[in-house]
Order: sequence, then structure tokens, then C-alpha cells
Amino acid sequence: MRIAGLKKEHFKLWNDLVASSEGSGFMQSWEWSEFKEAEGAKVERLGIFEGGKLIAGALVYRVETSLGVSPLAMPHGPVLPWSDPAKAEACFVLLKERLGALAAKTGSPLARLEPFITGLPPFLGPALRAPLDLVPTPTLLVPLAGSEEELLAAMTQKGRYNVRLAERKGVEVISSPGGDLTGEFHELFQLTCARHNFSGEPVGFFSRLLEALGPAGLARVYLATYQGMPAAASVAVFFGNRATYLYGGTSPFLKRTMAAYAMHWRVMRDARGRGCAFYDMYGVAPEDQPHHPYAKFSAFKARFGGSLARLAGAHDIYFYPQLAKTLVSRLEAKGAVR
Amino acid sequence: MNRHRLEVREVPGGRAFYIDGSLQFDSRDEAVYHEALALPPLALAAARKPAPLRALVLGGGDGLALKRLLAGGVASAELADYDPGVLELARTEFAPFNGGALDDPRAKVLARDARLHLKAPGGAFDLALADFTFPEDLAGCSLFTRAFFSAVRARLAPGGVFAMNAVSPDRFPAAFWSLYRTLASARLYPRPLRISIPSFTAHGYGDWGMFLASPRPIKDAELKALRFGRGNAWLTPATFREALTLRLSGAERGLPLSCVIKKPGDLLCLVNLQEPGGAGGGVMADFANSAAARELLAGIPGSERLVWPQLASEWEWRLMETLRLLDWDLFLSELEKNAAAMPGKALEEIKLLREKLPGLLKGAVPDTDRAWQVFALLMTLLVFVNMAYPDNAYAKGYYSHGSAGSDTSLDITFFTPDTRSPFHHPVFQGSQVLFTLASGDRARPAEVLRYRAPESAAGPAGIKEERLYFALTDDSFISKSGELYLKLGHTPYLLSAGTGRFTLLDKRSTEPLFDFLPEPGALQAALGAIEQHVKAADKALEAYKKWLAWAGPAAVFSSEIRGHANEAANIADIKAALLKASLSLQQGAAAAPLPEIPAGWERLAPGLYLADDYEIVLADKDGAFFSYPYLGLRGLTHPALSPAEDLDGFITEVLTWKNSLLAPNNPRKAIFETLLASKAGQ
Repeated sequence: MRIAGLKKEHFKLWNDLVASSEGSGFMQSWEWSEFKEAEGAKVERLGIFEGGKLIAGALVYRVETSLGVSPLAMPHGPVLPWSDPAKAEACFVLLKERLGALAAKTGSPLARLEPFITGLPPFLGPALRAPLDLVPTPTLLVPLAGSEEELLAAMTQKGRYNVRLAERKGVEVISSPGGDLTGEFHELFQLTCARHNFSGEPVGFFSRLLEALGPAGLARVYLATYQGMPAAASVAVFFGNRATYLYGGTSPFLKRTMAAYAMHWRVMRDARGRGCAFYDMYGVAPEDQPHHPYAKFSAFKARFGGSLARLAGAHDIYFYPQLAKTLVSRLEAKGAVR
Repeated sequence: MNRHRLEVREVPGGRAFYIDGSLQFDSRDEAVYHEALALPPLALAAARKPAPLRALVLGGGDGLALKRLLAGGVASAELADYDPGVLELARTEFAPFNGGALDDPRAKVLARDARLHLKAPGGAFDLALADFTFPEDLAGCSLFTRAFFSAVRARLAPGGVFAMNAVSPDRFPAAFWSLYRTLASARLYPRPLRISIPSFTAHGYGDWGMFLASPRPIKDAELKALRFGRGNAWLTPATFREALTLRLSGAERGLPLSCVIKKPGDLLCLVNLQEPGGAGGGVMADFANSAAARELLAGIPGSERLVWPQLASEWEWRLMETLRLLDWDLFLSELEKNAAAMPGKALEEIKLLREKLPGLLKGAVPDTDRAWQVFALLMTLLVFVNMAYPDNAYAKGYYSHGSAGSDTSLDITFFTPDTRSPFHHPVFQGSQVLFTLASGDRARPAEVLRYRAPESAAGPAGIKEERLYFALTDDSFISKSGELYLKLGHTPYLLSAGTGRFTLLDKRSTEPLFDFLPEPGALQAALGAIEQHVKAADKALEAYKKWLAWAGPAAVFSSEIRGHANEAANIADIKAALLKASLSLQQGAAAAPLPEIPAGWERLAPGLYLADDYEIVLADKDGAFFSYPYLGLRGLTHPALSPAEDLDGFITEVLTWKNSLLAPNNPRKAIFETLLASKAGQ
């Protein structure tokens, strides 16, 4: 078993591995890493080979700042053979060693693991729950197996009714893998951001996202219109066995058309057509927290059925030498002039 | 007489000289200090006056500055140092470093107090250097007063140059800027210099400050043209240029506290002012207070946009959990390993941290404790590590929200451009609010207004000075004392909203022009704007309360956090002014009935009307109408005011302003233009 940097020629091998891994997701895809790279992140692509076969690895993201203290982030990673704990452990030992070396080189005081699994196996060692998650947890996973009737039957009654109501009202849903709907999407997205008081990404971000992921079929913009007026829009990402509802927005004026239901219903069917087993609603409030900021969206998302996935969340492995160095050596940086 | 403890310590590759435990020079880098002190004034003096040059060195008994002057070709040099012990060392121990400068035939060395030496008869000097130890007692401080600098000036030739060793602009900004002001007040026009001396920094003294001064102001062009010759260890045109550049942050911190040093005690206070704890001054705290630490903490990516994360309870809880669960044994031993390379007390402080750790992890917050400072720094660092990966900040769902949210919800409020209140702006982060914000976040210097206030319950008539320091809207302002001022477009006129009157003020003169009727509409609009701003201020204050409760202790080493504390204090001040204004305006609004304005009158400004397209009418504070004979007395319908030049000017400005607001094809433009043209033709 050996660990090595992945090169462009490993593109397909790596994506296949990530796509088939239950514990990973689109943020470990090669395309996503290229997108983030273009956004300014540094990416280390590490692969673990056994007898020449790629069996594990991680795309490690970091951001170079004047601090030099960005975590080594592995959203949806690392990619390990989780079902074979002994082998996964052996892989992790190799990976951890390499991460340690990378930390020594970059000064990162911690590595952040964020696999798409519900509990961390003990072999990961003393990883501490990170203060921030990148991949939202808990999240709602809607299973996509079955006929359209079965999928509708799995929704709540209200959800089913609204999907059909939107169809009766003549809501139309179109989608595009390119940038042509980005403008409409962004207008609705901004409206929604303003309504809920969150800070949204600028339109350029979405153009670049679609440019990077669209051609490979990894992302699409969906737009639901009512009599030609934009009513709801979203960006969905398709990778491996999951489709993900990454961003969305609705028009406050066309709520009654239930356009958002028609739109998600379209995404679900498209995802099923692409062989996805689940539609990830990307974060909901835990049921016992009615005042959670996600609660309102959660009620909407829950109407599509599915079940709650309580992911383990982001965990940090600290590199104490780097943490100590960051604390001390930065302070004496002035003294170390010449 | 030798009251001071002199020490020469062997250091790897050289020697270091201490007086009373304070480093004077380290032979390995003394060149930086002495070249910076001696060579620029020498070059400047040489540029201003042809040889021969006469030089004076006050203090500086080690002979290292003298060596540079002699090597630079001065014709003669006098050195007066009151400590014979130092002079003795200079002739023996330091001879290898100063090249025997004290015994040079051109040098005259006296063991004498500098003040006495200045009073002694003798000719004028072309350049003088003051190289004294750090002013730690009254005797030491007496060499940095205005009287002393005046004495120096008296001994300088007309274009003579004075250079002095000052204090660190980092560590003692107030003292540094006070020295600047003191030199200036002694008419020795100063130029500050800032240099980094490795051995000083390693002792936690911070960057070092010096002044180059002269009775004849030193021009930029002169400094630019200085030539220093080859073979210097440190000084080149480039290093000199850098030394001339002082960071503004230091100025901001020190300037408000600075004063002219008249008595030695003034300086002693200033020096002690910014050094709480006095004697102990630990190395860790020194480093934490260093420019490097500020740089470290200022480098948060995107900080201009995100400004600050407000830590939600869960965020904070998880961070505290992280700190609790850290492998402290491993971490502390790594810290010790790293700190071993640091001088002095770092190891001790890490030991202290180790001792106090259990308490700190339980949440005990001893406010000025050094262990806590280190701990707070670590916490802050961890926040930054998390912030350094911007996806975390932008990841979906991390948004601000108002009141909804439970104790365990994961919500972080960022001050993004979309969500922040109008208060989160750097203009509020100084120690005083000197700018106002116009629409679009443009900062403008806050105008200062001087005018004769009417006699009132608050006090007799007199010249009043008001800073229009908070912009309610683009044309209405609240002053620090809570009064409302309305701007009239781009005219130089303002209305001051007093009780029962809108007083017309001209920015160019202190005499009020007219008391107008207070306009209820304008008062209501201002009240509405005030209400909005008070709400925003409350929100901002609430957010800061939370943030500062958490990050406050780190203010010691982060100018950003100090900025936030300033901002919170300023917002509280602004809020108080707003509430005060609101109170008085409410009384005014209740008391002011508006007389009926006839149809066909156009409102030009509060209380100023254009009646039937030709007559200028003013409503005075009692609601009575007066006609103003703008174009003569003919056809006036109300009691006429007597014509006055200042009111003429005011009305012309208002008409011009109103006219400029009209679209070119607006038929009313003709009316304004006719009025203005007729006036001009008179």
C-alpha cells in the first residue's frame, strides 16, 4: 500500500472511486476541486494505491492566507474503504502521516475530516468536533428508488397535493447545465437571501460553478416558471448516488403556484434518471428544535418524504507542533527578522 | 558618581551593554541604531553647510555614535555624558567597537550633565545628537522636556540639525507623539523615524523611534537627496526611506493622548500610562503586543468584508469544548520546545499557563492575568483558523437571523454588506468619530460648525462649536451634543433645529441670519430617521456586547479588537446623542403648529417660500409671514423685512440650488432663471 499525489491522468479513476464510495460526495470530485482551485483554494490530491489499484485517498483543500493557518479541509472526505475497517485504518495511517507532513509544510494546525457517515470509527483517533461544519448536518435524504407513483406516495399528503397543484396550474420547469439560466436563478436567490437575511454568493460564483460542473453533467440550474414569470429556481448537483439541492430561491409573489414543488419533483425525477439513489436536501433542523433557523425550510423539505441522516459532522485532528508554532513563532516573528 | 548599575554581558558573537537592566546596545546590531541616529543628521548638516562641521553628542558615552560622526568627517565633536563609569567602559571594554573614538584628537569628552553642558559658553553646533537612556525616572525624563529642547535649539547654528533617540512608537505611542509635539513646540521641527533593531525587539522593546529635527523645517526633497556613502552596515537610501514611513495605526493610538512635555513628570506619566503592571512586563505579553502579533491578527482573509464573526453560543461552546479536549500535555510541551528559543520569561509564562489551565478551562476569567492573555490569544487564533477557510463562512445556512434561534442552534451572524447595520464601519473605530457616513458608505470628514448660539435655559449666548458627527440622512446631521442640523443642498447654509425655531446659519460666519418657523414635516422626518438609527445602534451594541465579552481580553494584542471596543463606545455615544435629539425634537414637534400655506406658494426650504412665482416669503419663528424685498419693494403682500446682504446671498444660493435640481425642460426653470437674472442685473 502506498500513498501518492494524484495527477490529471487519475481523474477518472478517482471520480469513479469517490462516486462509488458511500461516505463521500461531490466535494471530493475532481471537478469540484478544480472549481475551488479556480476560486483560489489550494488542493492536494492524495491517492492510496494497493497493488496498483486506487482504493482510497482525499482531496485536501486549504486557503493560503497571510496567516498561513488554514485548516486542511476534507469536505465529504477522506475517501476510505469504510466497510473494511482494517483496511480503512491502514489507509488512514498513511493519509494521516502525509497530512502531518503537509501541515508541517503549510503550517496548518489542524486537518478537518468531514466524511458523509453517521459515526466516526474509533481508528480515526482523538478527533475533536469542529466548531463549524461545511457539510450541513443533520440532513434529509429522500430515496429515489421506485416508480413515480411510489415516490409520490412516499411524500407527505401536503407535498403530493402541492406537486399536483403546481402541475394543474401549469407551472413549467426547465433546466440547463450551462449559464443561460444563472441570471434568473440569481435574481430569485437574492430575493430569498434578502427575505431570510442571509448573505448570498454573487452571481459570478454561480456562473463559474456552472462552467466548471455543468459540462460534465454534475450541476444544473432549474427554473420553474408560471406563465413565463420566474417563480422558483435552484442549483442541483449530481454526483455518485446522490443529487444535492445546493442553492435555491423562490419568488415571494408566486408562492401560491407551488412552483418550488414542481421544481423539486423535476429534480428528483432527473436524479433518478441519472441513477442517483437519494436526493439530499442539504441540511434541515433537528425535529426537536422548532426555533432552529432552518425550521421553516425544513418543514418544506420534509414534505418530499425521506429520512433524517445525522452525520457525524466535521471533526478536527490537531497537529500540536504546528499549533504551538503558530502561537509562539508568529509572536516572535518580529524578533526573527534577519 | 555612579548611581546606575552598568553591566556588560557576553552574548554569542558579541557583547551587550545594559544600564539598570535595560539594553543599551548589542554589538551584533548596534550599527542599526547608531547609523540611524548619527548618519542622517550628519548627511543633512553636510548638505546644508559646507565643511568644517562642529558636532555635539549629548549622552552616548559608549562612543558608538561619536565614532560615526568622526568617521563621517566632522571637524570637531564634543561629547558630554554625565556618567564617568560609562566613559571608562567606552575607553576600555567598548574600544573594539567604537574604534577608540573618545581618544580621537578631534573629540572633546566631558563627564558632565547634558543640561549643564548646554548652558556652558561656547559656539554654535552644526549638528547635535541626544543619545540618552530610556526615560524611566524624573531625572531621565528631564532630558526630554520642552525646556531641554529649547536649550538644544539655542546652541544650534541656524540650519543646524538635531537627532535624538526617543521611545518605541509601538509600545509608547502616546509618549512618542508627545515628544514629537514637544520638539515642534520648541521650534525644532521634527521628522519621526522608526527602525527595527533585532536585539531591542527580542527584549520586547518593540520597534524603535527616533527624531530628526531642525530649527529650519526639513523638507522631503532634502531627505530624498541625502547621500550616505558606501560601507554602512544598515543605512542605505532604501532603509532610510522605510524608517521615515510611520504606520498610521501607531499615530492613531498615540495622538489623542499626546501632549507637550513641559515637566519631566508629564513624560513619566505617559511612559507609565501604556504599561500596566509596570515592572513585570512579561515577554509573552510584549510579544503579544508586538506589531507581528497585530499583523497576525489583522490578516483574516476577507476581513474587510466580513468584518467580524459574531460567535453564536454553539460556536463558542464547541470552541471551548475543543480547548478542553485538546491534548494539553502534548501541546504545552510543544509550546515549551518552541519557546525555548525565545528570550527571557516566555518559558515561565508557559509554566504559568500550565498551572492556571484547569481554572481557565472551567471558564475562570482573571481579567489581566498573563496566562489568560495567552489563552485568549490561543482562542482567537482558533477562531481565525476556522475563519481562514472561507467556505466555512460562506457555507450555506450560516446566516444571521433576528430573534429566532434556540440555545443549541448553529447560527453565526456575519456583518456582511447585506446584513450589517449602518454602524459597522471603520469610521467608528477610531477613538473619536471624526467622519460621517453619507449614503453608499462614503466617509466624509465631519464638519465643524461655529456660531453664536441664542441665549437659552442651558446657558447664555456665546460662540458654540459643534461637530456634525452623525449623518441621519445625506442632508441632516446630529451633533455630538444631540442637536439636529439640516443642510440646504450644496449651499453653505444650514438650519439648526433649536427649540421653537430653525436658526439659519452660514458656515462662513458665526452670526445666525434668521430664525425660521420649525417645520413639522422636517421634524417628523428626522424623528423617523432617528428611530431607525437607534434601533440599528441597539442591534449593533447587542452584537458587540456579545463579541467583546468574548474577545475583549484579546484587545491587549489586537488593534482590531481595540477598534471594536472603540466602535462600541462610539455607537453608545451616538445613540445617546440621537436619544437626546429625539427628546428635544419631540417637544418641538408637539409645540409647532404650521400656519396655512396659501396655494401657489412653493416651498424652497423650511420656512422659505416663493409666493406666486415672484415674491420671497419667510415664516419667522412665531409663524408670522414676512416678505423679503429680493427684487425691490414693489408688490409685496406681507410686512417687508429690511434688505440685507447676507439674506440676499442666502436666497440667491437657495434659488440657484433649487434651479439646479430642475430638469432642463422643466417650465419652472424659466421662473428661477428670471428671478436670478433680474437679481444679477440689479
